[in-house]
Amino acid sequence: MKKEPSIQLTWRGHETIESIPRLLSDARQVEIILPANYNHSLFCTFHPDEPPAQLEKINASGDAELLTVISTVKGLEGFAALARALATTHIEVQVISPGRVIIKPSARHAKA
Amino acid sequence: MSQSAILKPGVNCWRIEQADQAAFLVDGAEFFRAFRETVKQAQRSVLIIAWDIDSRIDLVRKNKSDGLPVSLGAFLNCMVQRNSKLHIHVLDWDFTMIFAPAREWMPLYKQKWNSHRRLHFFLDDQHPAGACHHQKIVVVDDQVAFVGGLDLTTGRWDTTEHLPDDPRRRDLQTEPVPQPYHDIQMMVCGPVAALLGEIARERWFRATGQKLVAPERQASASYWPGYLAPDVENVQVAIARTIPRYKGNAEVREMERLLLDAIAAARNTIYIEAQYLTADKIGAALAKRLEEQDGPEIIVVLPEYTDGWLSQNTMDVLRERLIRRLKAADHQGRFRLYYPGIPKLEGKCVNVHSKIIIIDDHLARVGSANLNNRSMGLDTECDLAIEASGQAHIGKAIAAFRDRLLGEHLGVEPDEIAMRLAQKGSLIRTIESFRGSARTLLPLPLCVTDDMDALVPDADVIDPDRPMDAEQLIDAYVPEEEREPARYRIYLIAFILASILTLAILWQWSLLREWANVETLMGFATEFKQTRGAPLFALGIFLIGGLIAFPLTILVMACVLVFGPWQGFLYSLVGALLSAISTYALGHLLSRNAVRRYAGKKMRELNKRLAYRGIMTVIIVRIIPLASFSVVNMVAGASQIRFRDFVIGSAIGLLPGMAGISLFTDRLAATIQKPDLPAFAVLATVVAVIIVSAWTFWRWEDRQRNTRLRARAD
Repeated sequence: MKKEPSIQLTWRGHETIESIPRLLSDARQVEIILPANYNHSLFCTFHPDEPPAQLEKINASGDAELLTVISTVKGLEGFAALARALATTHIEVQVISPGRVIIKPSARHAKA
Repeated sequence: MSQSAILKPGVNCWRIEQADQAAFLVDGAEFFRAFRETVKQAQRSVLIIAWDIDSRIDLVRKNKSDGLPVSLGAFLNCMVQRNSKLHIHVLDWDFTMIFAPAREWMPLYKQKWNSHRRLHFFLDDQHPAGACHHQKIVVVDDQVAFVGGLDLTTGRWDTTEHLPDDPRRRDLQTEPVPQPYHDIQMMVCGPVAALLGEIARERWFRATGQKLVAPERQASASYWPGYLAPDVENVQVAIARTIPRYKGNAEVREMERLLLDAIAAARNTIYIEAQYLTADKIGAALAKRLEEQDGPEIIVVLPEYTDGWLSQNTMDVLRERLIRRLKAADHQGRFRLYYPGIPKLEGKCVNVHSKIIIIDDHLARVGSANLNNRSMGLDTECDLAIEASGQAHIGKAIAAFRDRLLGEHLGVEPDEIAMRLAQKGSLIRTIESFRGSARTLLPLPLCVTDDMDALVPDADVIDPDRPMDAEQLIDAYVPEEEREPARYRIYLIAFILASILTLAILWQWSLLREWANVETLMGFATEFKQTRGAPLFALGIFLIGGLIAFPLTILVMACVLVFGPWQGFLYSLVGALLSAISTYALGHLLSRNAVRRYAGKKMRELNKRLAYRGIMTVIIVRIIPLASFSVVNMVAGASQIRFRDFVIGSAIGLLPGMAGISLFTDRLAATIQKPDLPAFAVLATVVAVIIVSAWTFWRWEDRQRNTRLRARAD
């Protein structure tokens, strides 16, 4: 079956988290759109050493472990459950501004 | 269907945060009053970040007294005196002395700014060469903040009526009534104010090295003035900035990105009020929308002409270039340019200084950033924006704000604008239906001729969008033939003085002395001096000399030789001033093009300097003449520099040079008459003093000019 190129989900807490594992099998990537004011908290989490008053442009990528980091942000604790659910799945996670979390199956493992 | 979100933190804005209340304060009177009423509530901290500030201005001009001072300096001092825990920090852009006549003189040393230990005043010079700190932010206890185009300085106070010759606009009783001034400040209350406090404290730290502690916010505290109805409540407010790259700090261009994204997202209308309209990328984005078959209407309200001769001859020319591009792209008739028309303004125009953009009923942005290139990446800017994102109460507030502005310009009630817009379905048709002969919006005429346009270089020289390095600055601002190092000029002065000395020595020991010895010449001089009317004759020589551009230095030397050092100096000064006035009048009468032909290649550099009209500018041009005496006078006359400034500046500016020439001439004559070692020593000392003084002043002025010449874009 041909996969959707991308599925976008507006953040609705646990409801969003629960739907992701299933959607990952239907799409090449799932993009979670967080409320814009999470950008600052995520920026501080992923770029803690940046000087103040810089452009808060987030650019972080990694594996499922990144979801655990996201879950440390107040209001995004639900991502911890997602991290556990996808712990054994080979995925790539990317966090970008303005508060977007992109999850896709790892290209390396997908080819294998 | 609601529009997709425009505001994106980390992309086109810094952060988005909650405002419990927000208001659009239209025109200076409303802002000054709200500022004063809010600062009266301050408990711990008032942060004022300014492009300009003046302690002498009155904050209120018509309301009943509340017992507190009305002038800014006295009011702030009173605030810190009555509350022992309150600190007020004022960070003002460190303007150059060349702008001093237009600003409060020596603010660092003014009693109003330094008389209280908890009123902290600092001039911020931490910016790239040619840039300025243009942010206008006030934050009170991190609870309430103001952001916009208004500084707490002279010429800003005005009411929405913009009455011609309203005496209340006069800040200083010695000045004429300033032109009407239209500007907008946004006031926000709530957590977003704390973020603006962060920006202000970060600026203070970068400028002073001193970290300020944020005041503890009290959620229950009410700082909002009772008389002021908020325009919108419970709204997310975005902060967008421009910060130039400087000393290792990364460039921030959130404002430019936001404007581009907002223009791209517009569906029906883009309403803009702007002081300048020269930003290339913004122009391209607007042109792209105009080229679309079903793009939005674009309405831009600008000043008829910008403030200041320099701006009119540079930024207004760039503005017309961009406008012509927009008109060329407007195949559907969806582009209108207006300026506010007010009856009986008599030669003045409303200084539209506001910096706003309103996209449909969806987004409103208010701030300090102009629509010029330098506000996109060179100057330090701060703007606020709100977005409806499907929230009806915010959409209504944005529409009401636009209708209120149009109502002000067109002399009708905002409700009438809203009703007519609903009927017509077009903002352009709505405006056109209200345009009349009384207060109205008038189509902005294009008046830059090809000749004027040809004189103005490209925008990247006049209006760069990022800092230039030193080489670029030199390429941009110093004509090729004037680019030799300053030391060469000193060598030239030394060479001229040495040549005169050599001639004097040769005179002393050559056959020339037999033919025309000093005694003979002094005899002639004494005879002439004793002639009735000799001083008047000398003054006449100065007058004629000025008209034929005879070198002033030679006339002064001759005058000193004839009349002696004191009388000669006095007659030279009076003669030079008379000559200056006559050639100024000539320049005033002749057309600018005629003066341009006469002045030749020096015109551009002189124009740049004289454009900052004021006594200090004239003084500097006199001390460091960029062209001959007569050329400076004529260009000053043609540039419509104020006569009073010209005469006072000339009198002061000519003093050092004339004193030096008189002293040198007197000592030279003495040395020739009695060429002994002490005479040579005194002469050598005089020469050394002249060279060192000239060198020191030249370096000082050069540093000041390089740093700031282009910074006064506002």
